Amino acid sequence: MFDVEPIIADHKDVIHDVVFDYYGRRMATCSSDQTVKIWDEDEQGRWTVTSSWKAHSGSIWRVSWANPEFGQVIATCSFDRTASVWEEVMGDKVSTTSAPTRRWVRRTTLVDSRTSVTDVEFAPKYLGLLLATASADGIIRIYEAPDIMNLSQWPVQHEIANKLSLSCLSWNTSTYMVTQLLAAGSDESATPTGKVFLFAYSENARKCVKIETVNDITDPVTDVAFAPNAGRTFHMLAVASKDLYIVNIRGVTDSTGNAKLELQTLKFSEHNCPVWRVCWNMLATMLISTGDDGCVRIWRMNYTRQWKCAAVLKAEGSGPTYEPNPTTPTLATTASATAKFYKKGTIGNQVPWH
Amino acid sequence: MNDDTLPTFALGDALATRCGNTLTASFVPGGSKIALSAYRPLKWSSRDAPSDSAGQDMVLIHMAQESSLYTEPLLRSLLSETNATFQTLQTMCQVQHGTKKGSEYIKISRTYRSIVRCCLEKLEHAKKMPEVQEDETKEQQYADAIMTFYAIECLWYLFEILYMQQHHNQLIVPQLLEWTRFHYPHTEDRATDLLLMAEEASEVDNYWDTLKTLVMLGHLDVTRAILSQHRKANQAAYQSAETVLKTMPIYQDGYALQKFCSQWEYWHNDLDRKLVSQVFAAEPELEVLMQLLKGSNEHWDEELLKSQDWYEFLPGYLLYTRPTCKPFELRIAVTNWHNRWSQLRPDWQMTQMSRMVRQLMDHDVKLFIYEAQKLNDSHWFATHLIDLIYHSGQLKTHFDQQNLDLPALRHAMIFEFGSYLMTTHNLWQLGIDYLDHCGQEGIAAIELLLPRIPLKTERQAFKILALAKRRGLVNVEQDICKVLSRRAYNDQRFGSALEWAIRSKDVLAVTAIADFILKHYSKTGIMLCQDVITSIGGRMFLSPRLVFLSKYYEFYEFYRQRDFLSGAELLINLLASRITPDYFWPSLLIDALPLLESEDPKIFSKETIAILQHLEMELVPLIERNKLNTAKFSNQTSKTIFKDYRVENIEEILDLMRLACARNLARAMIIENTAPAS
Repeated sequence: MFDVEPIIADHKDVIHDVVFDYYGRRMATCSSDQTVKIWDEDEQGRWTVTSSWKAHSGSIWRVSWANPEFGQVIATCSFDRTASVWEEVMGDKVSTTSAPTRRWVRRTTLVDSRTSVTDVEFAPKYLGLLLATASADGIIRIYEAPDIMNLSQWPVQHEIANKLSLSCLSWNTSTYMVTQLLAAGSDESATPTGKVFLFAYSENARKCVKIETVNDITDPVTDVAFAPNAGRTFHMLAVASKDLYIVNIRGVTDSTGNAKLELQTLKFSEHNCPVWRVCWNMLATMLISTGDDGCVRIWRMNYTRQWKCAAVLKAEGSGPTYEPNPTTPTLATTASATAKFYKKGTIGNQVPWH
Repeated sequence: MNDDTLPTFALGDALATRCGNTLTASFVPGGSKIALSAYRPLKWSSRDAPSDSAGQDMVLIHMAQESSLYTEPLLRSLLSETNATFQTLQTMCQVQHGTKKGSEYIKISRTYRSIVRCCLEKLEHAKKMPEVQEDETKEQQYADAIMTFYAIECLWYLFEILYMQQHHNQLIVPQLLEWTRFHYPHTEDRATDLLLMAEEASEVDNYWDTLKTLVMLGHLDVTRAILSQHRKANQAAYQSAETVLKTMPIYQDGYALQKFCSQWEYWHNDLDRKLVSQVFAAEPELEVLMQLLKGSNEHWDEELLKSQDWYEFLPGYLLYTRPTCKPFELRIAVTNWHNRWSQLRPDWQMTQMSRMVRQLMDHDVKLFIYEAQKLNDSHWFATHLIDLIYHSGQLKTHFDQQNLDLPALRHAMIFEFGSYLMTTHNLWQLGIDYLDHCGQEGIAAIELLLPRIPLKTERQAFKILALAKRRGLVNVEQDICKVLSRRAYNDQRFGSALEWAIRSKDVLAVTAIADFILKHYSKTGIMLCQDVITSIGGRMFLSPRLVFLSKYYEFYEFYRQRDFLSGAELLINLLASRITPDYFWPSLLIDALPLLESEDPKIFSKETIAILQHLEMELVPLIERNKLNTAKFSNQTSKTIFKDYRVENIEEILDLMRLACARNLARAMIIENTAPAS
């Protein structure tokens, strides 16, 4: 069962990205209406907008939060060919009694791309304050703020050109066996080649290079996401393409002592149509996928470590109509007043492991 | 698993329905929430224009949260008590490996159950409070919790009777009777009323119904007591009934089974004979009671139509028909009984609870465990039961046959329950204990989840730090300190920022804050957070910048206390130390100026030469470099080192310095050379 609370987002157009800060207490939304909004959750769990501003002159694709040890910092990327870094600062006190106001100021605009910047993501914090952007011209740029107290300087550290346009990227937060691993996907549909690429820092070349292409996925890719690693000996990359894929990546050392990656691609075709977005939970025991069939699917790993679809969420009136789930446990008849949007059923903690 | 069996939920989002029905969702870190919103797949190659649906529908974000019972404080105490029992079980199994007794597991099982019973009692009590009665949602919450945990207790008790006992030839009927009596207490309540009413009881409407139910639940003593108060208790029929009830043999431990069987057989035949010879014919209601005692199917069937659930009267029936039933014989008895029930009540729907009771009695533990995970208790029951089963090892062969990897299932359940608690507001401290028992994966999960707990107060931060320290999670400690340092810095609490940065032991963070303090001083002449700097002590060696800050502060203190000689010495040391940051050279040298210009010399000639040397070798080249930089990037003022008024007059200051040095040198030399030889 779910309790649902709708929040009026007050964006003038569709939201492209909803991203939460490290603690899940702040939310950043961006939209085709070219604005970014910052939301804060109060003690009662209510969300209110605390800042809203026009951030770009085009649709804003994505938002990313920096780790809180760098302060309250977000990055945005847009159709307008730029990416921006914003920081929340304390404003002047209006009066001595009131709390100081906070506002978001633009720290920098990254204008290196000549095409739409399709994705932006802060690197895991062990690398420092780093930012990667992917753009439609196929270039991945990695920027670094050398002085964490002064975010106006963001020199480009690496620039990796790819033949195909890029639609998304994801940093691997785990350093097990391979460090600085970055994945990017392409939504190019003309060529039948692999669409997911893996990059890492090469000690020999002293720069970031492409180290692997996932050849099993040749359809356009719209989202990639590395899973957080809770003690696994391999990395998992979720890929939204024609189907949902989970790529297991193992760092191995071959007989000659060279480190390389071993890839295993799992395909899940339950959506039966293109998948747009993927999102992991904190321990990577669950995965959400958004499909063109109007379904949001929640996947979970069972005790034998197999991925199984555990629940489906739909916008009302979509797809085939269905009857209330017959296996609804009679004991679980919780119905909160706010839950009127949902038909009764079981989910999440009521989904068995076997 | 195909789509038909998948739980499906529908969301009323007009916008999503309009733009091709697409909906997207993401997990909210720090909890079990999911944020959903309408989604329109857009490609970068399409034209960037407002979408067709712009402005038509409200743009909504739906925060969906799995409903949980544990928002209620009473249930939180249930969680913390069970957490303690869980820990006891884990330590018990670690300590006395291999020499565990079944009775100890039963003890643990009973502890779990008594926690639930105690909590149920408190819930019932709380539900009756006037403030709860007025609040409908609150009352519903209590009702849900009571329903769930009541079922859990009932099932756990049955599980304990059937699977936790040591001896397979143990008789189970008395225990099953105990079980049903506990879970159908209403009859007993009514019986108490009847007993209190004494003779008048026989006039009450439900007198005979209550007695019948008592008999079917196996409450023979109470039945006897009530009957003996009947107005006609002295009549022959009642006297015979009394004898029948009194003489019914009850099996007790240590009794020879053979002997008991023959006794019971004799009693049964005797009752049959009495019924045939119409001993009770004068009292039809009493006769029905006796028929029930005899186990007459016809009469039982009639009564069954009124019962609440299929298993309610099963133990009673067994008492009168198969009192020596063994656990392994139960399955057949249950199948027969259930068939009979289904025929009597064809349109009766099995609830999850009755299905689970059946699974236990049918020895279908695997299915039972599967169903147990569907309860809305966030897997509390399944996790603790599976853990207990795993430790007691009782059902090992069963699971091996069923091809169920019990250790893996247990691990997954504990991991999941632990991480559920850890990501739930106010319950995280309980969750961490479960994750501690999940090996490497558990530690890794703690490492991921612990730093994400919102740091609302410093006290909480210290608690989290202590937990991280105990587990050797150095990174978590560092992360938390760095976040707190940054937060204090943003709030302009610089002392706290420095303190936390030092605690984090992160060189970059420490250097950054120390830089800030030094720059602030060189710009304004105000030394920030002096109390913190005074107490740095030996920790200064974390970063050269911090060493400089501490030492400079020491100089600053000497200066203020007018201890110019010590101050001068320290200043010379600082100048020679090569840890002076570029931006601080001017400040440092200007600090020397008054000392040099003092009428009564504070600095010896040798030191004066040293200062002059630093002036020419460090500061002058620095200024030259700086000029170059400013020339190169005339627009980027951030490259300039001197940001204050001293920038414009730097040449003048240099001249002043040189002059001061020369004058001091002259004075010092005169004094040094005219001093009386010792």
